[in-house]
Amino acid sequence: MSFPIIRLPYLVFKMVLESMGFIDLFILTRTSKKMKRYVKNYVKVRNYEMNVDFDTHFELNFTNKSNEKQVEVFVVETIEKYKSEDEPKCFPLKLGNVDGINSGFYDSKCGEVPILGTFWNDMTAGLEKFYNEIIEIFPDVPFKLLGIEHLEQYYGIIFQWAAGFTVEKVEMTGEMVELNHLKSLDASIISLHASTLSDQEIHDFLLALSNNTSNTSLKALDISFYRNADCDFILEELDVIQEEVPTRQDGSGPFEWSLMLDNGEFGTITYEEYESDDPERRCWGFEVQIARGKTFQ
Amino acid sequence: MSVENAPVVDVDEAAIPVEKKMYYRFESNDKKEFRVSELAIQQSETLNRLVEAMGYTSEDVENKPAIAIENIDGKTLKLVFQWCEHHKGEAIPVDDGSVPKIVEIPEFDAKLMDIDNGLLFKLIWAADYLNIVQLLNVSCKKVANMAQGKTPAQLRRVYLLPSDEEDEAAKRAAQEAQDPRAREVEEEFEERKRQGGNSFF
Repeated sequence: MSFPIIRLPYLVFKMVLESMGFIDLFILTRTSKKMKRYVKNYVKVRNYEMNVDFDTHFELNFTNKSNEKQVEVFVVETIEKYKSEDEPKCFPLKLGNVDGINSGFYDSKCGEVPILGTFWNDMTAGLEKFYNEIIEIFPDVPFKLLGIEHLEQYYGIIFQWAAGFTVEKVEMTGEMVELNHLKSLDASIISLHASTLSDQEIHDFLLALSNNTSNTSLKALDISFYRNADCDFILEELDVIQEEVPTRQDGSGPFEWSLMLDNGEFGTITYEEYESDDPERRCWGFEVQIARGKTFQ
Repeated sequence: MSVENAPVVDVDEAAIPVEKKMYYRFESNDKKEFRVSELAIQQSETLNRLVEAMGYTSEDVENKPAIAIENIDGKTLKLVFQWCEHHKGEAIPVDDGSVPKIVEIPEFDAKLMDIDNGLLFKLIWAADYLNIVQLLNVSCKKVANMAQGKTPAQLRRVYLLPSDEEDEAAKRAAQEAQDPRAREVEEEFEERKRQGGNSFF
């Protein structure tokens, strides 16, 4: 027997919509233009944040700020991963002007996290269409974390896409992250591991940071690499003063400098050897902290 | 406590023990009478204000007619009062502001709402009318949960949702019903177009 939801009083109908999860609401918006309008107008997401992760696939999740177990996941995958034998969980979905996209509900390994997967011949188109549709329905959710681990073949479009947003934290791993990628991010915290940026590129980045020509919101940068860097060269032209801090006897740091930016804001730069996740290679890194909104008196 | 043993006194049903304290008598629109404890009534903002305003004594409750709730039937009201009795004394929940809302349905409530959708619709309507916040929360969550794991086609069936085409047809019908001349004008316009006229006027 069916339940005529739209015959409920307005406020009750709104409460029912507000009690649905993100995936159910998203699917509801696929039923008609009218339902899409209702969801967009009645459901104003509160107390959740959005995280986007590019790993072996594109994943977007909504997580409750005060309860991390309250999470729902939207996934864009290649068509090769589509398992049509999962019927009847699989169904065609319409996104934008594209109809019949192979989609399905999946359970996480622990079985508690609802997942909606969509499967695309063209991952780039999938990313764009899926993201745009989700953001059209849930527009005001703060963008907390952007993770970029793999999918190197899509880095061009990923960073071009990411440059259009303000995000609290970006975490990246990999050799394919370039200087212009780093500069394009509007984030408070950037973490780049296993970087292959050269000393010259790190120098250029810090110089641009120092004279406020890029990353003007950046408060914390953590960049690590499997080599020892030339700190004198990297910090050349920067307004830095080396601080006296206790260092380890083997010369692995930490070394610390105070940094003055051209606009009067200030911070610190630390360089030291990190614990390496690769026993064959030693790992070093810079940590930059900037006190935004405060100027040196 | 099971749903069956909830201490709502339904005069027409088997007698259920009543605690010795203030209670009130209510009558549904199909003349079913219920005795409900004062504490249970506090779950309903509407009824709580009503009985406060009436200022009944225990004698008044017995001597005066039962308070009529004219737009809720006995079957629905019985569920409402069973819920109120089970949850009497519990604090009215304060919304933490999360949307989507985080609502857990307790076992008792789940059993109470294990009913057909017609009755569930009436229960929600009653919870809204009587302003019983937590009953409204759990019943809305129950309806929301019907969407879980459903495809768009299944959702249309579950919630009786019209398609775009049906919405358009309904809109046209409503417009025509509102203005019978509209269709005539439209037909006249189409006829003139067929005849090759450039202007309607």
